[in-house]
Amino acid sequence: MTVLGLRYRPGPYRPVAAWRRWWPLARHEFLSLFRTKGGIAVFCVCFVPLAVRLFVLMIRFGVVDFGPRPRGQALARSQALAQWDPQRPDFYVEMVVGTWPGLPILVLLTAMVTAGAVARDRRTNALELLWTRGIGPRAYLFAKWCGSLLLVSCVTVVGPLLLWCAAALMAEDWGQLTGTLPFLGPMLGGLLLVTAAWTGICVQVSTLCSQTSQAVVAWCMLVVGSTAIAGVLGIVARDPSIRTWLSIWDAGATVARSVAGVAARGSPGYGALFLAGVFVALWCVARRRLVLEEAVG
Amino acid sequence: MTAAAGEPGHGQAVPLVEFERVTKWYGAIAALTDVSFAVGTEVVGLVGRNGVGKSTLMKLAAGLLRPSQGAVRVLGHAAGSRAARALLGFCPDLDRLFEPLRGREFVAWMLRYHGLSRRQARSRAAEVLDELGLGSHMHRRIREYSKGMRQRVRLAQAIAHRPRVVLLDEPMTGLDPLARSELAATIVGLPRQGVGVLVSSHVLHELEAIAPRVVLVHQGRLLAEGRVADLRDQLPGRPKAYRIVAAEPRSFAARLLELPGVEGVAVADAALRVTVRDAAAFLAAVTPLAAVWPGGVRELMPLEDDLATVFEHLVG
Repeated sequence: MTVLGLRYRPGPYRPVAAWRRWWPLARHEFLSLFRTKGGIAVFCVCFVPLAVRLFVLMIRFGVVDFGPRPRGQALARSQALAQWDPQRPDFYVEMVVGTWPGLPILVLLTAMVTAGAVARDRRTNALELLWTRGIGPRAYLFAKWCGSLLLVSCVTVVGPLLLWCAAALMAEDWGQLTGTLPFLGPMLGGLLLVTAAWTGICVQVSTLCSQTSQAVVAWCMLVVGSTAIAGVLGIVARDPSIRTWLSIWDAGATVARSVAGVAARGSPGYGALFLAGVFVALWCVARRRLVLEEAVG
Repeated sequence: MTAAAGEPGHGQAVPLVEFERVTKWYGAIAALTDVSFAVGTEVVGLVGRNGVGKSTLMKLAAGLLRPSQGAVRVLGHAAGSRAARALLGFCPDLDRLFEPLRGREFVAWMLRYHGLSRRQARSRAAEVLDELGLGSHMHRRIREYSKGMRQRVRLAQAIAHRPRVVLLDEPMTGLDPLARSELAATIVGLPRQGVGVLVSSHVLHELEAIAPRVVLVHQGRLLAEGRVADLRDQLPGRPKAYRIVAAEPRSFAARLLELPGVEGVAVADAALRVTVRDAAAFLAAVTPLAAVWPGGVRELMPLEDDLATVFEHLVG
């Protein structure tokens, strides 16, 4: 080791723009899943529904041929595939907001990244390092949320977009493109909106917990637990719409379906209100946990 | 403390870090009470037992805490302000760093917060890690690092953005002797580049080696401040001891007892242990005696003059 002699010179103070302080943290959060082989594997698993739908598209547009022509035509005309019509927004939206496989994928992805985002830093006292870099609690939370949103959006927003592009390319005429273009924007906007809500709530849950495992369990219980309880209550009360204002998952799904123009079981207004209420309630508690003095223990 | 080294922008020289009558309460508990001292372009050691407020002082300077009363300034800027944070590097006592990151990646990431582009940050991170002896390990993940390597990465992230002030919280913990001496050499070299260093440590003899000036904190109050030798000389009511090796030690001991300020002389093997009440008077008298003593005086050195003794006497 050399004594810091020749090359060390104290530098002057240079103001740094706000985005240059939070963007490195958001980027760090976005990349965190890709730093381990397990994380990369999980990310790939999240695209399995996309691969399945791509395969369906290939069958429908005749890219994949299963042998004798009558059999291939029969498969294309089958009731199951008819429900997966690429001309309708359901085909793209349900991949994300359908309870299966949407819920397990959301839980898996957020549990791997978002749920531990703040709890991990709190446990290792890494918050101290970040506070001294000129990033405040609000910017810190925003950066964490932004990174998580970018990551989860790769599956929930970019996935459907890729599927739509694939459908447009595979189709033999412009009908697929012109027929689906009107709902593309609202559909992606709706998906982005609920992804933002879900990751935002997840970051707040992480802020409330001191350990990563605690945060993961709390988040899973909140999402899966509320969905299960709401499901049971919906059956007991014989009113499926009850799920919209009791389950974080169903509330988001209803909002996304509604924005995309897909028939939803409950009222999107209630769903949006419920999500906003949960977010605000958690924020009120979480922001106290990130006051500088408490954050440093 | 009159050290002056910083220019906060209007040309007036101010201390790099200044604590002005700082009091800090955690609820009903007073962690610090009316603490005032300053750090110039030097290494200042922060000494005290666990829980006396050392880390609180560090965090106040880093802007992680706000004082309940008083003020903390970094080059004239309020601690915690963006300017103050940009001008200081903080090396907290962390158990773990960002484990999945590589050493260079971590330091570069920390540099990005100071406005460096990705390319500049990577280049600067490599430069600092190389200077700290991690050049060949910078591409390994931090979770694979030894304790010593982690400490160096912590130091690297604290100094990489070329701060004017470096705060080091227990930087020697867990290091082997060689790594300690290397790290000490690095810290000692920082003031020569115009950097002020505030370092806390429990390893008193090592702290004494790197910090000419110390600040002793006890029960949240500033107990003493200054150079270790000066503090030792000013200890009230405590006799000072010297070790003397001279020819014919018993005869020399008899002569020593006649000198002013001498309380007692003990003969152990070939050396004498002299206890004096007035060190200045004793030294003034013993010097001419040693010069003319037949056979000569081979050694005259103060005993119990170290930081540990001062600390023990003041706090114990």
